[in-house]
Amino acid sequence: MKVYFDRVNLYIGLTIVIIGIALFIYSFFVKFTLVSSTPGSTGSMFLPRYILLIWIFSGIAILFKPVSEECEEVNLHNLIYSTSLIFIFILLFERVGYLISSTVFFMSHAYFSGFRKKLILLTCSILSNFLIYYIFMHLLQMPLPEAPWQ
Amino acid sequence: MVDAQLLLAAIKNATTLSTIIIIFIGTIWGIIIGALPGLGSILAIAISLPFTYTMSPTNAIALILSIYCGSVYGGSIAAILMNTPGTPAAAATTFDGHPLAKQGKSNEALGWATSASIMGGLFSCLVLMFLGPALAQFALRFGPLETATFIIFALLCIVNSRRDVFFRGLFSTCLGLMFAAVGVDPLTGEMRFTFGCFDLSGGFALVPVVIGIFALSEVFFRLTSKKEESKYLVEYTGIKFPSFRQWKGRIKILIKSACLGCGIGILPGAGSSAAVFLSYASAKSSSPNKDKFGTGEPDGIIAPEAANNAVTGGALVPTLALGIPGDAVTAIMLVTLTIFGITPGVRLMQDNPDIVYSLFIVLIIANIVMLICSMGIARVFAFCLKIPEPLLMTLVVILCCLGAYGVQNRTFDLYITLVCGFIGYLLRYFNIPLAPLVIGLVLGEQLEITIRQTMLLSGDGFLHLLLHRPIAIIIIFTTIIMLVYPYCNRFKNLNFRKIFRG
Repeated sequence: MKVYFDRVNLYIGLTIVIIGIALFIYSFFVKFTLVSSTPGSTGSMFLPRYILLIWIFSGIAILFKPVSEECEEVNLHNLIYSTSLIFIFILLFERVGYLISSTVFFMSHAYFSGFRKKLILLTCSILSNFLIYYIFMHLLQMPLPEAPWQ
Repeated sequence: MVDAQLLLAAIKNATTLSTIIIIFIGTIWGIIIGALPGLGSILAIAISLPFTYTMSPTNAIALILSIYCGSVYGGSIAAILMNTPGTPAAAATTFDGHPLAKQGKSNEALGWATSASIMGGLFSCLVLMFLGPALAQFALRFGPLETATFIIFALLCIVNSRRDVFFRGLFSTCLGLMFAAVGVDPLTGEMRFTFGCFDLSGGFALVPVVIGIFALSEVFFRLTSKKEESKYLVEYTGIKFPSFRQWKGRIKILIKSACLGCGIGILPGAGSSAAVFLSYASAKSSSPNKDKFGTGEPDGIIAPEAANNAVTGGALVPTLALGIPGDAVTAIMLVTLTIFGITPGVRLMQDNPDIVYSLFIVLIIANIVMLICSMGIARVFAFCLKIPEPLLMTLVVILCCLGAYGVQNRTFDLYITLVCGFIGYLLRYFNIPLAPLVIGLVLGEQLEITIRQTMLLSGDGFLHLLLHRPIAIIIIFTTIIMLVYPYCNRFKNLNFRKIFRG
């Protein structure tokens, strides 16, 4: 089943134009002074301003595109829980170390994604994270955050 | 031309035990991920980036290249056995590969695909070896003006490759260039677009952004998609390679498709999908068995498979000779080089000949290793398909985070990856192409420096400078033709009589 957004071009175009204009104004709002007196010398905002003008122009072109695009129906709940769990994982990453944070993340993320076999989940999360930890710390010599008590 | 001394040194460098082992691991990994429907080359490469950080540049590139070759080939396994292409490059393989497999000849179908892939890949290696250094030598004539115009040409080529979403692609390019503009200005040292955030003063690190935009957004996209993928598999027992007699009369198709794949791969933005469909159509029109196409004709497998693997070497020609990536995969390859302090650009081959020549050898070895791996991998494919998607996706997220963290050991980069993953998801959802963003991001700084150097050089006026630069004039002229030509064609096809009669 597909949901049709008749005004999707309008929404995308407007968002692009608004963000583009905001950044363009910002480029004038903050003072950038270091421009040499040599002919042809340009300041740090020289190219970004041109890019932003093309950005705004592309937004306007999308805005007026007559053919509407179709967007697939999506499960937004999955996006919200996945983003939240990754955010929590990042928060815990340096605080409690890689092993604990990733094991907890693995179990919770896979569980909420629809994998409900708890014993397999527990085994997979512990084994895979220990394996990754071993590969990075001992084989690749790449340091990973450790728990405060380690 | 190829420097024999450098080539010998590269052979020595690329045939160490560690490099060979890495190529084996990369090829196996690439085939597995490429064969799993929907994952593709970019995700396979993105999640293996953290493993490259402590390797030597040659080994890191060997890993990435072997994953690239393996994943392009792996896509055809799913296309033949499941009628679902593992990668977009294998889409045309389903037309004849799956019907042949359904006739009970899946082993033969896999054999045709494997041998065509390897020969296409090896052909492109030779093209890369001979064309790359010649093009790089020519690129030495490039000054700031030529480099700037060529980067603009490449960016517009990539945007123009999807004319249906031209303006969305243009926006995506601008977004990539703006990402590249964040942080310290390369010429004046002033802070730009950091919004007071100290962690942004160094700009966006390329790896966390690339991982977020491609890999994490893919995870989000698969988690939110309500489409159910079929996992029906045609029975198979292994690979049966075609005999020399069976190849008789098909070599022409193979060479033609490999040439097409290689040629299209060289063009920025054209991509492997265009190459496979073009070579399939070309084989269909010229094959002596054209009536059998679509029913399991080996020529219909040879053409797309030789073309898609020939794209790998072709796409590396502008990447290595000019430092301009033609697609997202080669852009990620250049990102990997930046981790080792190697700056992408027109001097890439001149400044780092050892690495570039080693890369040629690695590509040849990867294609040979692919032959060995293919015999075993096809057997474990059924097992890989049984891995539950939630477990696979969670593992991908963890590897993404490690990849982002490992560049600078900063938690801030993890937040960048998460935000970029979300942005990438939105772009995918609204059908905004991602490749222009990454290529814009990779080339952004170089574009800015060269444009501003050109401005400084054009003290007497830009036109005066341009008149003395014929290469730049040709590039500008080609860019204009590329942009205007489709509109001219449309204008020519207008039925004026009908319009004036109302």
